Amino acid sequence: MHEFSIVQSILDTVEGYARQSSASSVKRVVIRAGAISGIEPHLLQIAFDTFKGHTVCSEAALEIIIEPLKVECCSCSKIAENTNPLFRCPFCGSTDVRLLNGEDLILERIEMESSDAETQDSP
Amino acid sequence: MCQDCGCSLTTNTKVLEVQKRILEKNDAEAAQNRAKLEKHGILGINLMSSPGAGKTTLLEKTIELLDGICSIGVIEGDLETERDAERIRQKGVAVQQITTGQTCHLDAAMVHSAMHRMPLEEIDLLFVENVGNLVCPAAYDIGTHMNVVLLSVTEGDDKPAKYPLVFLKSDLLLITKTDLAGVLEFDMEKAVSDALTINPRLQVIKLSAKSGDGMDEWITLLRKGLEDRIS
Repeated sequence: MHEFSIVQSILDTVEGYARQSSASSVKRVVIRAGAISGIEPHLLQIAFDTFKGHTVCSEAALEIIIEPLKVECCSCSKIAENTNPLFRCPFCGSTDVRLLNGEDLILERIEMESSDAETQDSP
Repeated sequence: MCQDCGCSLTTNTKVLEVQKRILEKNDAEAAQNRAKLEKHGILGINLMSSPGAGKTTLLEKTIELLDGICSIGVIEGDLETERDAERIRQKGVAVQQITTGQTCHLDAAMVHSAMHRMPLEEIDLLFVENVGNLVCPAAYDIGTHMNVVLLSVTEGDDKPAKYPLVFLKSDLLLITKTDLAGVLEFDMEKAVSDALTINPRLQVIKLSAKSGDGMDEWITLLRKGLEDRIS
């Protein structure tokens, strides 16, 4: 249950970007979570909604894109997704596989709003 | 003009493509920890396991067996209490306890601040006993050189298949409490083959800190690691 710590890292990072961009609020935070990144998406969502209050993300939605596990077999050179068992090539049965994707936890995108006083419509 | 209320404020939506690792800060701090250990010629080892797999008992025996061979320091991570640190302190080595409160793992910053309180110039081998948890510690690099996962036979042979990440992130698997394997019908072959399917590079040592079986192999590995560090 380290999702609370992960959310804290997300909020800190987003806060930094929002400040740099002079954003008044953040509307959406998109993250990419590998299938074996060690997080539970449901818990991450709960943690985000619990901790976002009183931050620049208080009105933000969290979108989690799950990235499938992708491995390349070192014996037959084929690439497979969502293998089960995790690290066995479904084509030739070799366990000598290289992890291509599925381990990362990436902050992809932030959608922010900034309020600017309008000048051209002013009398 | 604002379309919602007619005020003179406009809102600009801005999309920022970040593409940044969420634990980047932790990883940078971990790299600093590793550099600090290397500056002092210290071999750092991260011990991870479920609660009760025998991390502290293993450390007690390891300290006894390495007495006079190298100088050991221990950082203990627990949610609460100084009990493990107290057990290690009885063995006469430098120890710092980190109590994490509600946090289920150690991160690089916690280890960094504990390292500040250790006499690093006197230490050759630093063990970090992570919080007892087979899930979360695996997600955090704390800046040691070797990740060691303990699996006790009392936990069952299905744990590598059920908790793959920690086995993937480890360099060495210690199967502990092997003196009980027969009583518990622990399928050693299955546990090891499941773990090696997840991580073919994983080294495996079967040991019992209580009976002493397999401890020589563990001590030899540590001594080799120390020699490699110095040379």
